[in-house]
Amino acid sequence: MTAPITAGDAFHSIDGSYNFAYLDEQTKRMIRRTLLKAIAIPGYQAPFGGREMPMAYGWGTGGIQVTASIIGVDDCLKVIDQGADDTTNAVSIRRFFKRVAGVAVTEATAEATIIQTRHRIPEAPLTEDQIIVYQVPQPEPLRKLEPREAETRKMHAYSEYGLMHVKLYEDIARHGEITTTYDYPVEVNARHVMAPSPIPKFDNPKMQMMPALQLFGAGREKRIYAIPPYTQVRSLDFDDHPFAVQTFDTPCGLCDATGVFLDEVILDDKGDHMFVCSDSDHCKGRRQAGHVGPRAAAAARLGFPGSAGDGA
Amino acid sequence: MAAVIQDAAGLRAGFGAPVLESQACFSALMRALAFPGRVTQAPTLAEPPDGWPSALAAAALTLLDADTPVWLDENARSPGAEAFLRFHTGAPFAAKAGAARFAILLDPRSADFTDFDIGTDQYPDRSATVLIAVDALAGGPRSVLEGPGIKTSQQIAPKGGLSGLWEAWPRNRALYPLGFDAFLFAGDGVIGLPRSVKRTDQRD
Repeated sequence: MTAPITAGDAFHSIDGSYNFAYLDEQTKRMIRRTLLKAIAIPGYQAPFGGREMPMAYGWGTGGIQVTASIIGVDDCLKVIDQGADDTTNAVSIRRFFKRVAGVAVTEATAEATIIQTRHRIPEAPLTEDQIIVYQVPQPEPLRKLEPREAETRKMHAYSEYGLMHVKLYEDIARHGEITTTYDYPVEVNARHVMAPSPIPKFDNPKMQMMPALQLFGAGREKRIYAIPPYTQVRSLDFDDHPFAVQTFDTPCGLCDATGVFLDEVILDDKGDHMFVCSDSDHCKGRRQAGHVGPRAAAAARLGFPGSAGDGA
Repeated sequence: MAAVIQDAAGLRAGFGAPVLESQACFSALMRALAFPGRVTQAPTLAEPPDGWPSALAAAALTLLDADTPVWLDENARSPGAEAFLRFHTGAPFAAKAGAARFAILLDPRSADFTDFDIGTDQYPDRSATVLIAVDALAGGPRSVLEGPGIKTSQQIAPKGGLSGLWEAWPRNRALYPLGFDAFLFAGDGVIGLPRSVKRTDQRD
């Protein structure tokens, strides 16, 4: 029943060995139907027939299947891993789609129509013309509290989310604050509690009323879920312990940015370190615009990638 | 089998470039559902079955296959249309509306919207998607939509016998997260109506 590739098709994959975007048409149809249902029920985990992909689970097999099912010849793809465009996972997935779909790729957030991400939301606000695809290791926010799928299904069906609140409360009772800092649970459309994938909780507020469509693919667990544009996404909290994001004492060492998510980088074996933007495209854009961070000179001396001292 | 071969002479063509056109059509359907009420454009099908809007036939080619029982209303049912779906998609025909994953309505006036599968409480995604032909996507009685995918509110004015759908909509929405989802088609245009959307009559 698979629609054959006819001579009328502009091209298949770039090297002619695969169907356009790697997946066969029947698989794409199945994933597309699942995506439509996921969009219609924001935050609900729809099961899908996840396929074996040419890479190991944990490397974004869910996100790749979603991207392969939605991508078209006119799309421009950006792939990030922890905010960076130049890490192994991001580079190999970008190369994969260049090869099997022949699409344009970019590192600039504003140029991309589809952004596949592992564990970050870009700092630049996304628009209605963009789609962000998250790679998800564990789609079930309740899994660590209730290991049985049969039970968590029921808990979602009956909005039985008391256990999650107990967990957050116990955090407060023990530590004085909610200690979850990534994959922080959210309530979508005032109904489903959802795992936002292991993004830092710093990124959670960006999901609220985001103009871009958000799609989530979990390859090993074979689940797809979605948040349509302009949807209510609330991080779970308590009246007397409101949700708050991480703050940083120092600006980015390279580009002086504040109000962004920073990664710690070790500079030598004597304990010197600096904090830099996790979003490499955001940092690059600021440096090109002339912003200089307090550690820029030290980074250049060490030949830190992307700094003035980087040979590339 | 003989009947199929006889029909093949009058069989209407599907997509010229199925891989790329079904992607473009899906993109239009996904955007329509993600931004309920906004009209998106599906790729044009040169010769859809008689009476079918091009976009509806394109959506059927994009979404249906052997895994998706389809139900056609009286007006959609014709040897030509059935041969079209059978040949291009391989979708089995459901005897009853309630057994279908997709329903195709050319005359929404005659439909009973309580017939369609609303899914189960643990799997609300296992519900029907109703593909509805209308006369036009503008110029009809005005409705206001609110909900996920809509920043504040979205006005739509599709024309063509939708009073039954609008009557059934509050019940469908009350079932949330269960319920059916709908698409409206006229010409190349598509409007998506996910179950999550709230609809009211526009008052001036």
